[in-house]
Amino acid sequence: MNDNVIIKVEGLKKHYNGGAVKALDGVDCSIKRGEVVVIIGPSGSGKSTFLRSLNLLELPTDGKILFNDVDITDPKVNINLHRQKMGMVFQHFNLFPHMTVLKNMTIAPTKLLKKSKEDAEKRAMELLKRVGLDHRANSYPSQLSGGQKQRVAIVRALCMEPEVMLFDEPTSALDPEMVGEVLDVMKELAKEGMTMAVVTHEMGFAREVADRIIFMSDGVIVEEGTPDEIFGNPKNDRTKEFLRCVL
Amino acid sequence: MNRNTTKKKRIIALCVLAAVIVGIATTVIVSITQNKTSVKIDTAEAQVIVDDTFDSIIPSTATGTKAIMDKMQITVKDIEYGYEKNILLSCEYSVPNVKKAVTDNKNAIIDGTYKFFAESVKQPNATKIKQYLSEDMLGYINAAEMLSGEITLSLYEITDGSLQLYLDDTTVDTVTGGLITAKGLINSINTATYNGETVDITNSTTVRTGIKDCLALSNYDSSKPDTSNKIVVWFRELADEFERNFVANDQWLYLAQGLGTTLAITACAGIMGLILGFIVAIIRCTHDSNGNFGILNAICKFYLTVVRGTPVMVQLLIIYFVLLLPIGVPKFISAVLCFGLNSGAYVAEIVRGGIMSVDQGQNEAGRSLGFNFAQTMIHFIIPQAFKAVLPSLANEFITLLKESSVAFYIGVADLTQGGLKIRSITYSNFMPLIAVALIYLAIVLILTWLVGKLERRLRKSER
Repeated sequence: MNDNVIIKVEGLKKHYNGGAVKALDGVDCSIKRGEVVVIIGPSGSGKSTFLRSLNLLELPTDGKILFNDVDITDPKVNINLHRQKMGMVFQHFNLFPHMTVLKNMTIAPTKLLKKSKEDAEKRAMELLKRVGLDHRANSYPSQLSGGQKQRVAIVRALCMEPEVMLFDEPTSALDPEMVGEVLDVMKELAKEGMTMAVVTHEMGFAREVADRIIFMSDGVIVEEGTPDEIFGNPKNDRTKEFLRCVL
Repeated sequence: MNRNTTKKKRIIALCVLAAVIVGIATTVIVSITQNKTSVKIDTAEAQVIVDDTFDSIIPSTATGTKAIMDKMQITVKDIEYGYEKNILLSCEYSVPNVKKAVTDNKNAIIDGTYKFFAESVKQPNATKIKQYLSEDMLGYINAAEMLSGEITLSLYEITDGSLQLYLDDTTVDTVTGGLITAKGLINSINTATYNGETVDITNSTTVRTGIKDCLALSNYDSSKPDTSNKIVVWFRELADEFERNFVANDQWLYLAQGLGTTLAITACAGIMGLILGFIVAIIRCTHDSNGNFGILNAICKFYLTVVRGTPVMVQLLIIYFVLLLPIGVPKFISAVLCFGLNSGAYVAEIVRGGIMSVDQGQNEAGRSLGFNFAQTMIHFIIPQAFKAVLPSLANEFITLLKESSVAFYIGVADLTQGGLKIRSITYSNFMPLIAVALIYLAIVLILTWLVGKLERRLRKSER
């Protein structure tokens, strides 16, 4: 059972201003290998903070995060090694503007995994081909559309062969007509069995792809379950209220 | 729009550069083609030329004139090298005891004059001539007796490279007073007293020529080289100034060597400032982002406050005279250290601003891929920050180049010092100072152009 759990979160708290603001106030959760977890909730509910805490972009105030049974909140742990196995996709893409698409994708594998340039580029081209962007390999990020940028950002993370992918509102900064192309890539990724944690407002995507939905509000997990349970029969009032607003 | 502005700037910069080059080229060409004063003499040599000239203009027949001229003393006081082959001599002249000289030589004078008239006019009556001369002569002598004053004489270089003293009518009148008058007076003599009668000599070429020969003024062309064209004169003057300031005694070497020193100081200090600035900026940014380096950060802050809060000249004087001179560090190294330390503080703040201006998302993207803080800085943050601050860094470098001119305060022979050195030799302000300014300007323009090129290359990645 435990072998199957890739991330286990225990009592995660994130407080600002000495406890005056509680972005996360005790979150317990575990993500199994191959599972697609979609985190939804009103803005300010702490879902982004929670996701960013998983690879310690936000340092938790309290609590434990076990990644492959290692507590990565322990200061003695080299977090950089663990981050290599956790790909992350941001709302604002965060591509490196001074590098070509190909360089964006190969710099991490070559510098961190010590892959040869040829191997890294071969892998990058494979991934680019899969997302239909192999013809933009030598473009700079500023020459791409939003949807193309986000697809590059996804394959950039995939170049590190991560065990889990974290998506932080990946479609929120996109024009509506570009949302589809990014979600398609994510769906395909889910189909291939990638472990994914996704913060999103795309309820259609959540319903179709998610194995499990987590509803967060005020820094705690209010309700979690399968898409059918959450969308079909929400138990908590706050979940109901939220879904009534967004659906 | 932006491209147009850059293009305009480039055109303006090229125009300025072209103007400077054309100006320098014209000056050089004019200085080569014009016959400048190339013979340099000292006061004693000038005195010899003046003495020789005044000795030779009196022919032996004009005994009285010669007697007075022999007594006359013209003393060269000062030499000034003007333009177009011209050397101006400031002289003093005086004629002591001329009356005695004339009296002593009275008979010789009268005999000489008699001979002169005897050859020119048939059957002269000696007594009449004596009477005629003695009255006029007395007036001349009285006038000459009072002569003394100051005068400017002009020496002109002639084709064989020697110098010729030219006397214009005014000079002759001034120097010789009533004794020798100029051409105008000679031409106005229409009569001579002969045999108790007044003889018209208007058409007597022999007599006129004789008088002219006697006074020997016709040997000396009072006309100067043409100075009517003001532009030519201005250029000649400029060319002469140029020659006097830079070509003479290879004085341009002061500027060339000074420029070398200035560039060396700027380059060394610039590199030192860049390295120091980046280190300080990274320490400060690291401290800001994760609280490391508490003590180092405090040191950096202190360093920034002190350096940016005091004038660079005071820093230079303190670093050299208080800190480094006592332990025997050379001036050049002191200057490099001072400007490097100074520049480092400004670079640090520029770079820190650049690092802070890079989107926080870039840091997160780097870290999320598994890069550590330093790797993220090196691969992602600093290249972008560098590009953002490049114009400011270039400006800082240019400021450094210009600021290095205060190095002359501790006696470093930099470009400014070179200009001042020439100034102290030639007492000329225009040429050395303008030259120094033009050289600084040229280098700044070249640097600006290079930075523009680099900037355009870096910008390519974002277009």
